Amino acid sequence: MLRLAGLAALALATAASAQTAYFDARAAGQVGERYDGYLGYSTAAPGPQARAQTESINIRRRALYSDLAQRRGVSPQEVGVTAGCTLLGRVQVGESYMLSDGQWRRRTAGQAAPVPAYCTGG
Amino acid sequence: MKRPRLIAVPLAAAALTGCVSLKTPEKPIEINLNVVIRQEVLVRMQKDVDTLINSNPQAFPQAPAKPAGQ
Repeated sequence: MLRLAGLAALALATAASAQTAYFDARAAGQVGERYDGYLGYSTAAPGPQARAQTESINIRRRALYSDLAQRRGVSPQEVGVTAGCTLLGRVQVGESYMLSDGQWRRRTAGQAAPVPAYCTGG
Repeated sequence: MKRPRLIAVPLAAAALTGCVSLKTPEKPIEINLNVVIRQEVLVRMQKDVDTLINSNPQAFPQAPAKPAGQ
């Protein structure tokens, strides 16, 4: 059991270190979460490595959303927007995010989690 | 003879519109890029989606924790 946990931790650490450029671009506000469950580029374009890692993440997400949508009889877009609610809630201070009005914003310190009203049924 | 006919047509159309709107109880939420989301789907899918996010760290990577003091 301990060995399994160690392996899982190692796998996670490897995955994390391989996406350093993405994390850097995200912390710099160049890459951010969008309301539709995918990552996007805000104003300043990130470097090619961060861009490639971002595209790769989006491709994985698209496959996961499509698969879950098919199993539950809803559209992939609906799954994506639902995921967007959770993902926007995880946006850290300093990171960029895009709401359904298409505008990029940057989360500032002390600001509440930027989850759109439709996420909570409001 | 022609006048009563002209009045009757808009009245019939109004009655039909009333019937159609009564048959749509769903509340779609209009989101940018013409994506229409049903609130009921959002609520129903939230748990599934959270499981999906938590079990696929490659697609939803969490930034490594910052060292203390930063």
